[in-house]
Amino acid sequence: MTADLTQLFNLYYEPLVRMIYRRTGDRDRAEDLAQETFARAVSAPPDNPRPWLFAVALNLVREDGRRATTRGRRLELLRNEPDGPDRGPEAELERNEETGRVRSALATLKERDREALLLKAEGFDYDEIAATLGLAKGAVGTTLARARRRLVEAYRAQERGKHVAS
Amino acid sequence: MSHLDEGTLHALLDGELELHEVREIQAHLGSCTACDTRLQAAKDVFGEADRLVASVQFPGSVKAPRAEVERVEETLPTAATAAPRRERRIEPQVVGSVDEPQVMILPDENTWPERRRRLLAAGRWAALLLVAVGAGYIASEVRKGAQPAAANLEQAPTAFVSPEETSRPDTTTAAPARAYAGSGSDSAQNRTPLVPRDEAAVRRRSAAPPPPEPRPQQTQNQSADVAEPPAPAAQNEERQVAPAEVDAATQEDIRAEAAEALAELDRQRRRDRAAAATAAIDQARREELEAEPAPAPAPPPPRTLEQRAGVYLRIGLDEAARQLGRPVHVIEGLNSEFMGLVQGRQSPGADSGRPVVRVVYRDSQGRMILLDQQRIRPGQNWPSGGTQWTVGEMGLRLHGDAPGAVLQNLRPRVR
Repeated sequence: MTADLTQLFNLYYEPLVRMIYRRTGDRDRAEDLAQETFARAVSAPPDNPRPWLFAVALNLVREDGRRATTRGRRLELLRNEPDGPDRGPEAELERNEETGRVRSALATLKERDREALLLKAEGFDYDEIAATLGLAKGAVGTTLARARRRLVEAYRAQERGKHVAS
Repeated sequence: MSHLDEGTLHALLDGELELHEVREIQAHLGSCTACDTRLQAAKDVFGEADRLVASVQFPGSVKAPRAEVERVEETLPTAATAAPRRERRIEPQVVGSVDEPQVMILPDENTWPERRRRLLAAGRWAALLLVAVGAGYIASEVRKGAQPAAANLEQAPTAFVSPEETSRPDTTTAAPARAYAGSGSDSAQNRTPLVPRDEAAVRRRSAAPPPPEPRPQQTQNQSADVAEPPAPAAQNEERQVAPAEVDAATQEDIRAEAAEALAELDRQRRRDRAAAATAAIDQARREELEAEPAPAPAPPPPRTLEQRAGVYLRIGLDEAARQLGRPVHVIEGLNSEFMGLVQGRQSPGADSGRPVVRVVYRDSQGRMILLDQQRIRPGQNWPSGGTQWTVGEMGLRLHGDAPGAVLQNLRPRVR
């Protein structure tokens, strides 16, 4: 079991952390939740690990978000990431602003749309997205289309707002 | 065919449609300007959305520490961990990045010697508790046997006993007291708990009437007390007094010791929980900070089909057609796994400056079969022969894990 779990960990830890980070914007939280996901995999080894792991991770993100809201401690983390490549302060600022706008645009999506989009970004095909989110496969294309359109619309709206403000 | 909805267009762009569906859509797009326009709009949204999502990159690198799984596994009360476990070495956990103020989560010293010391201490407390309860039980039994004689002494202030009284020759009462104290040679010292600590109590006892029969004071060798047979009256009185004293004094100590033992067990549980909670913290970060020797590199994960095929970007049919300037060639009768772009230098004869469209198949035996195609530009020499040939301006090449004979048989099926 350990060998299997190690293999799963090597395969999916990084994609899980990346997806959760895109969802939460909190690096430490992403790592914590990814590890919690694997902890649950230890106690209940899944048959079909990839959809299972991502579904559990998304559930944990949702639970975590609810707890954070309840406690009134939702924080927007604006970090100076110490181990990123050195792009210079202006480029770093620009990158942070861009990331912030994308995350804000992602936040405007419905939960299901956002999760489908994040799973697609991790290379999930429609069958896997359907299995992970409990959707019919035929609905995945529509869900993704709506998510992409709304993401782009929200992002462009922020871009316009930024230009108007400046 | 009815107009194409947004979901179908995105499924097409994602490469999720079957070949016959793609052909129907292509045929429809050739005759429906509205759908073609919507397809262009969908492509813009598709590319922009993917770019936006991809722009949110995890800062730094995500490391999958090799020992992390085992550590997570060890923290869980699963059936596997119910078996004899190997000892975990819990070390100080450091949270936060290198540049942040470091917060140490210290689950106390939890090394094996420390844990053994605590376990032994808990065991000593438990043994002490057992002995004390046994002493109390014996004392109560003795008191039951002395009930008739005790009636004469009920008027006396028997709650407290002076050192002189306790030092009278009395083997019966000395036994439990010594059992509690652990030695019979210094019984006066060991009986000090029987002496009232409260000065008021001492005064009350001093004011009380003297005993009816003055007894000889013994201040000499206390060990002789044990050997000498006591007087019957003194024995009766001592039976009445000393066990009660032992009860009163030991009960308080027992309660205190039991409380301490329980507190120690509670602390042990908290330490274990703290150790378990901190065990899952990123080991790689700790290793960097502790400058420990790096663990052996983790075995590489099995290569995915994309990696084996050398595809650096998966694309859909539409993008493939855009790359080639015409519809992509496929092997009739085989369902493709996916298609994508590979670097030109990975396909012999291809222009190394341009990507090659590679359609990836797997045959019934799981062998990978690759169909490369690139539009041939003027001056480009696309070698022909065997499983490499040209169709119009298109250079094609079949290769993969399957034997050459199988690939030769597949060539006529390329459409």
